[in-house]
Amino acid sequence: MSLLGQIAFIAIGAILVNNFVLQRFLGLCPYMGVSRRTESALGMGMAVMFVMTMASAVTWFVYEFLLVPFDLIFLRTVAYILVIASLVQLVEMIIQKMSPSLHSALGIYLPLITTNCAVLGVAILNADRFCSSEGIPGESLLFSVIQGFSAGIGFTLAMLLMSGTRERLDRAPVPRSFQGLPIAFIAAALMSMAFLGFTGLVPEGH
Amino acid sequence: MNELINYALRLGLLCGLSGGLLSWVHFKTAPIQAAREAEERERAKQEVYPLPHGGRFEPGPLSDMECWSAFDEAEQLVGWVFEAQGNGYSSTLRIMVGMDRNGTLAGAKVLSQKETPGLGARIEEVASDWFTGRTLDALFLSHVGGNIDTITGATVTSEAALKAVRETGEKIMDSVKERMGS
Amino acid sequence: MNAGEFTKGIVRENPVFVLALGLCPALAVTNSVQNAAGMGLAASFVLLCSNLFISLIKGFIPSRIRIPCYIVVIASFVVLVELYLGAYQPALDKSLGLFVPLIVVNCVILGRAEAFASRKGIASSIWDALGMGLGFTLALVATAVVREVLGNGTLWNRAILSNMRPALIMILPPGALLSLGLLMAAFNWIRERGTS
Repeated sequence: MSLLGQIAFIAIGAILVNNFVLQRFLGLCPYMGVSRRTESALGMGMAVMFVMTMASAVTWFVYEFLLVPFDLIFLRTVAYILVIASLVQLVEMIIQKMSPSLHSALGIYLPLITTNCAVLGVAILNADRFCSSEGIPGESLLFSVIQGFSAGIGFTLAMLLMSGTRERLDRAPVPRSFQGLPIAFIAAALMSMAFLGFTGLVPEGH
Repeated sequence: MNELINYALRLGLLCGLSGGLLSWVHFKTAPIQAAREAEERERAKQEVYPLPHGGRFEPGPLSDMECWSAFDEAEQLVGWVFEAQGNGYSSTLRIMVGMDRNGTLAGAKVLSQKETPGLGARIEEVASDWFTGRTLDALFLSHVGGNIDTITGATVTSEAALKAVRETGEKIMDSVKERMGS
Repeated sequence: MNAGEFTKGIVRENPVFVLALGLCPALAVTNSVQNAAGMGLAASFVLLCSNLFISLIKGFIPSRIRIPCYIVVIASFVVLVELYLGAYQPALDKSLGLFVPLIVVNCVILGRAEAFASRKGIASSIWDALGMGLGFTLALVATAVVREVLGNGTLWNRAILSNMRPALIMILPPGALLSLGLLMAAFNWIRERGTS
């Protein structure tokens, strides 16, 4: 299969077929916490997308040049989460310098990206799927970054879909017990069902 | 500046402690894990190809895939065990298959799959029935003329499993024929 | 009072149903009760150890770098769990898969470290961890019971619904979201009736 074909399959796989939020269940805490309004959903989505892409790249280097050569793969979890925490800190400092207004808009959400399962999740998925095979050296880095970026897109997509729905749900006559998160989960269940329709679109096993 | 060094030292100490502890535990558990994985492999091989008494497996005949030749006590080749891989509906199917010298399958066991639960995942239950006792050329679903009933609602997985075993088995038979020059 | 520290994690401040933390594993590994119990135990172990350790060394950690320090501590215990499961519980390790390392970003654990273990004494931290861990495990098991019984007709891999064909959707992703939503609503309803 051509390189472009493989890239397309990875991207479509991460955005639609195995949507990180609605199918893999990664990134749910921020998903439920931030998706109430569209502006914050979009802002959070962008920030997460950026962090996920960068994290995919940096963790690839850590894996290939630090963990594998020194036989330290069992320390993968610790190494990755420290990388992610540092990256988020860095991103926060950069945003603060470059655009204080954006920084105050995103507020507490930025440091929360560290605990976003989707970021650590995609880094581990990258390593499991791309790093063990032989092949052209730069290829696994490219695929890892593509999957990270696409997963971010999928996350943002799910967030936007949810925020539109929740803005309406907040104005609807929902029974007391269901208000807030429960009805949001049920809405997400329906969305997840819709996304199930994408199964089989892309062959997973390569 | 002193503050920074203070922070770095404390964090460094914590990391060092962590690294030390984890390395020690890894050192202790890695051989256990490796031994268990090897044992599982052996068990799967025995399950799909019951070796005659005193027999053994040897890696071969093809080097680009997981396969073993089975020899009996008298060092005669009696069959093979191989791992067939194929793209299922939503995951790679890996099936361990035992085959004897004339191409009749002795057993099969699904090693790994991530198909839809309740549908394609049922390949694990039916694999043994589907493959045991059949020859490679009989591995076809009923709707294309064979006599294996597809899993309801999981045609793709069913076809993928049969195709993987059929083609891998044929590869082995072909390579053996080539070697014998016939 | 210590009994209060323990029980609050089970109902009043249940991490999943009330605080909405640890949602990712609550959805991903609740397709069977066995997986849910395994995850609950693993996470509780990490929570207990990290709460205890952080409470012990809280004097040693400067406030500026407390988050990275907590992360190192929590991640270390998670790797311990990973190594243990890999060697002694391979089947569970395979079922839980990606979500074992993800325990490190389970908001319950980091949350308790920040909000509790870093400020309170060792005894309180232990009770807090035990209560939260139990509450987390119960929430996961409850969700799993719904999903496994309705979606697979089994409970702990033993068949219990023999005449009915199970509703497959329940063990697929939408079923997880649906179960959790309904259970949360039920929990809210019970809590409201309790206080009125």
